[in-house]
Amino acid sequence: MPSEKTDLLQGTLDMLILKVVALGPIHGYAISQRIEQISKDVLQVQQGSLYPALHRLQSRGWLRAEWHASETGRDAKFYTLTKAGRKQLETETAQWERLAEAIGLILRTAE
Amino acid sequence: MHWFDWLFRRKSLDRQLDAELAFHIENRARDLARSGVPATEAGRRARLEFGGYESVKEDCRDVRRWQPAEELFKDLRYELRVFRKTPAFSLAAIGTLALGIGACTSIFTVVDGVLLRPLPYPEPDRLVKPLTKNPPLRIKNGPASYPDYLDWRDSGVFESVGIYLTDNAVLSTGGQSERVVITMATSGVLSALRVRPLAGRIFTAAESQPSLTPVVMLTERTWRRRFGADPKLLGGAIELNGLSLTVVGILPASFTVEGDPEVWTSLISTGDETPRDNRYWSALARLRIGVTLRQTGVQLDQISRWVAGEGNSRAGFLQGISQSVTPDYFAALGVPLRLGRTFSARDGDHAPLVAIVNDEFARQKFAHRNPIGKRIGVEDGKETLEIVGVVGSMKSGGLQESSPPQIYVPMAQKPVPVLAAFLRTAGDPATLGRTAQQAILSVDPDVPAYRLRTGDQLLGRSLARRRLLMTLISSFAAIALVLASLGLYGVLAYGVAQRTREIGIRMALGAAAGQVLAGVVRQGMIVAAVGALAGLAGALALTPVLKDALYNVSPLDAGVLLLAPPALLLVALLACAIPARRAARIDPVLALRHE
Repeated sequence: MPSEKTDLLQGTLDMLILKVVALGPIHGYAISQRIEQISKDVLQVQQGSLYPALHRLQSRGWLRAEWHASETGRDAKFYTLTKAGRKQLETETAQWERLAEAIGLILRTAE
Repeated sequence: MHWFDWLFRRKSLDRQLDAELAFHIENRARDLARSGVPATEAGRRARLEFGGYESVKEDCRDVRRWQPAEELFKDLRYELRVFRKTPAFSLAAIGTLALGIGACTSIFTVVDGVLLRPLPYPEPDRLVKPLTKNPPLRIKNGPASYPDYLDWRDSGVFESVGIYLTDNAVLSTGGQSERVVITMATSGVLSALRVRPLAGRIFTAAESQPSLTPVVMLTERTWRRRFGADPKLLGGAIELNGLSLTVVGILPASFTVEGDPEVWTSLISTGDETPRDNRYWSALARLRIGVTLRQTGVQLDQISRWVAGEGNSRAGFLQGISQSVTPDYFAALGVPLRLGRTFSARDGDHAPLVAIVNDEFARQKFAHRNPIGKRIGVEDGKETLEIVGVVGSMKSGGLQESSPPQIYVPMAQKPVPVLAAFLRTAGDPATLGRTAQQAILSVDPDVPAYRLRTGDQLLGRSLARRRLLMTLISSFAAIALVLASLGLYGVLAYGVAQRTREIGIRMALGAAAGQVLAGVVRQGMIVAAVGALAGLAGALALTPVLKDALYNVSPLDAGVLLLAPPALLLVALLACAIPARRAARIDPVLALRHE
């Protein structure tokens, strides 16, 4: 199964971005790399949705962006989580867990 | 994203977006190259993987572009929903905001104009207007006399101090006479204001003594308009009130004072400068550097105590405002004669000196004993006058003044150079005015009769300021009452509406509607009554503050104090009763579901 790529479920990209950014200041390219890496290449992030999502989260006040030197020495836009972003992440995580648990319950009883 | 960024930083944000996306593609190409893809191929693949570069950019821009509008729209939709649900409460809130903003704006406009905008003179915070008090005449914050000015000047309390008086005079230019506003002033006034003349000089200290031939300064405007900016006028003379007076300087157009005088003169002697109680001058002074207003006030008090001590040595000296009048004065003004007689042609230059006093004077000095035949000393106490009559008191200085004790002497026994005439007619006052003017001119063409006014006009002038102040205060009081009513209604009604559920439970358990209603109203009214009492206490406590701030407006208006609390209590009653009635009427089941 690891070789198969799965499309992200609608609305979960925001949550994943918040989670990855919560680990520390990070730029857009590294976010996409990190998501693929942690999910053992199961989840692939489309650039076409990553950058609009980053900008949306920033304008909602959940992410803050700053330009400074990256590991290659070039200036990159680094994202960090705001206080409101951390709260949002908690809410979304809790919601996701409840949903996943409920779906799991149904699937298990149906067996 | 703030709308400010959105409006003004679009260009820069676009560049940032380009840089961010380019960084992504470069990093991807580098990673690909590291995994063994040839360098040229890596760049191409990275771009390909990224997808539609321009469409990604456009999507990012869209987020920025619509976010502020979206938020605004969301807020608006929410507000509309709230408004539809509780229209009365929303209207109350909107009305409160509107009135509050309006009141603040107008107060600020007034305060800005009167207090905040600095006077157009250098270091305006050191400019002060010294005032005098005269307890026997019940005068607080009164004008100054020439001796007062000399005391202040010689004491060295101020850096500079001067007195001035704005009046009318007749300016004759090229055979044409015109009435102009002039200000008589000592040099101290101009130096306190730090005026730099446009040409020439200001008055010297020597020229500041009352004189029969004062020197003059013209304003730049008058110099240009009436004298064609003639440079030879400096050192030359102008004709003012028939006197030929030397022009020593021109004041710049930027220098403006109250009353907008065209001509400034040094003091013109009227022959009555010596009595300390002849107080009709306005004073202006500049505080010394590093000396506070309070310190200066203490020093001035010391001077006036010292002066009062000196005055006490002249025992039996009676104080009152003395006025020279003709025999018909009392009849023309309709002043009633209480005792004795009025003046007649007998009371001439060589006849025994006589006086008439008003009943306020009689009350203060004779305690209602008959003053007729008593003798009083005036001014320096050298002469004594026999009181021949007592007349009713009248207000000569405006309605807000209480009647001071007053002494009248016959014009024939004490002539004065400046006259005010009172005429009484059964016909049209305007026609009479013109007739009088012609009559005066036929005797002496150089004496213009000016400032003709009817009694009603004089009364209107005196009332105008007071009326304006009263209107301002009443409007603000009305706004305050409306704001208080709106606020009170809003809070109480909201509180009762929140108890809809509780009311529903009580009704469901069988409580009578009347009983529930009475309970809710009683609780609300107790709160409102406590508030009204606290408000009354506060109003009484703040009264002294208001008394100082409001010149001659009674701050403790019993009518207002008695009316405001019942009005607010009525509002409170309605605020409790209306929502409570509504709550008691609805189906208990619905009420229980109410959130």
